[in-house]
Amino acid sequence: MLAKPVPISSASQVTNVPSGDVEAINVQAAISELDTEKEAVANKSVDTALGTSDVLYPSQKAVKSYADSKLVGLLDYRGAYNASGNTYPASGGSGDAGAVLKGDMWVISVAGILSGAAIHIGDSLIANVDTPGQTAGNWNTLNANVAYVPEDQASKDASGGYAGLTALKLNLKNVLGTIINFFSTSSTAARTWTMPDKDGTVAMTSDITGANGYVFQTGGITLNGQIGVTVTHNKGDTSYLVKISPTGLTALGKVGDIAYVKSANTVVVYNSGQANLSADVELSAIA
Amino acid sequence: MTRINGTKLAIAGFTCKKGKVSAQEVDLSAHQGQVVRVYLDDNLRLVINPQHDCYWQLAEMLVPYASIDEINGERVTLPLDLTNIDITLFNLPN
Repeated sequence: MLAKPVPISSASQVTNVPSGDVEAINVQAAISELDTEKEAVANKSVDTALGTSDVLYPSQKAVKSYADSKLVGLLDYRGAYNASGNTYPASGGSGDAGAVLKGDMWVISVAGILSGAAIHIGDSLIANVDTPGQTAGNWNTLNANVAYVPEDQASKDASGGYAGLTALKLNLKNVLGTIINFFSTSSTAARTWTMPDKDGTVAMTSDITGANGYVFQTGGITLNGQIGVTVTHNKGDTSYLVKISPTGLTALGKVGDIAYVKSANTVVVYNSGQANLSADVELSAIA
Repeated sequence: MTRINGTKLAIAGFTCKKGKVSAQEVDLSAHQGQVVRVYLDDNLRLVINPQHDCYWQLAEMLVPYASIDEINGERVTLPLDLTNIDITLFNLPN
């Protein structure tokens, strides 16, 4: 049987003095004071968005949810990434069990090819969605060397690398890589070098002596009517075209038809109109 | 070798990359007063003032008219004299 409580008649009978700022000197006053100062349960908020109220107080879960929401999508450096496997990061992310989340970032430590594009040492990868997988559009790629791609010196004179120079001679290796030939010129004037492609086709053949369209002689002549004017060229064959362009407005209506007789060393230009008209002449090869 | 022989232009035989050119000559007297161009055609024969392309031009000259003199009161046409005319000779083909 419980003992009947003894009424408290004075503060001296209170043996359990509460800590804090309780100012009451008797139990009743203390209970009253505590009842006034305690947070009302009704003010507990579970809203994870929180708010600006000075009355409401959040639950632990609400605080955690709010804090967690503020961390989503922030840039999160996840370290170096070896891209030699030619795949985007699939683990080591900031999510549960290393799941890759939006904002996870890696810096490339070993070059590779991602979605068909080369990625180099120093470049960065950032997931722009959660679980980006191997979809290129789910990743942002930051190129650390936009202006140029550094070439390793070890690539010099190596297959897939670049050609070196030996005493200003361009090194050209044979297909086995066992013999180096040198490509150079003794000319001290500018020269145009045209090389065939893998199919043996040479671009801009008009720049090449003897090629179709190559202009091997130009000059000025004075048209001499049907007597003709001889232009000596010594090409050695008759595979060439002759272009005649009368110069000056005085030639208008006076030149008539133009014809020429070709030989391997000369071409004679005739015009059916007047003589003593100036003209430019251009001879170009027919290949 | 190209040379004038009387009223004719003559070439000695020679060989070029197109073949063997035989010694031959052409009479220029029918071309008095004309600019004459002498060629080797594609058959390596001499032709004058062709209207078609040829292999090689050998010479070019203005053939003068034959002089006319009066002898014993009669006008006499002298033989065509090409000895002192200016001839442009082109190098023979190799």
